[in-house]
Amino acid sequence: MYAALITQLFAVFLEAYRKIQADHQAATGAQITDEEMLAKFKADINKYIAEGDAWLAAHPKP
Amino acid sequence: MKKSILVFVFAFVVSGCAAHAPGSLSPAGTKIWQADQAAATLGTVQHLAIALNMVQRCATPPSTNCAPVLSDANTRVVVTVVGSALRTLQQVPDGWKVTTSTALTQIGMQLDAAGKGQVTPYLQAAQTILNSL
Repeated sequence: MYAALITQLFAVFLEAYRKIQADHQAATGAQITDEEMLAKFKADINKYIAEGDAWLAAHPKP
Repeated sequence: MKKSILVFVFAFVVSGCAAHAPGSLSPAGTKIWQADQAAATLGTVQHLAIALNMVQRCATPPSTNCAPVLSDANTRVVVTVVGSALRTLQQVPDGWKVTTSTALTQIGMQLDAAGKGQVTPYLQAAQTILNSL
């Protein structure tokens, strides 16, 4: 059971990472400029921060 | 042992998938690209922790006790440290290597024993990814 759970979680992690990598490939496959890269970096960071903040808001510290 | 194999396979696969910086970027742009990859790695660790927190593990019936695979306390450690590191990355993208490595170390130190067992292999995999950038 534990091995199956770990395998499932591994799949979730891998899927998430591949999605992020695919987003990167889509953005960097073209001739991206420094300005575009900086804009993407800022947008990505804000997306990850928003995910964490949403979780924290839904799970207030007891 | 099985977990070690899985993590090794994970690290091998994602390291192989790691893209190289686009040739159109200047050296400064390449550093931003590396910082973006580092942020994506931290974001993935956070996403994993939240996913582990959403999965419920229940005791054998007739007991109805269920608990998240990764506790709220441990998930809070990951989300808080990652959030802090991401905000630092926003301000100092050039320091991505130190910022992300420090964050992974802090997470490992602040998790309780159960959390260490669940998350540490993924932290190690994340470190492997960062080392490949």
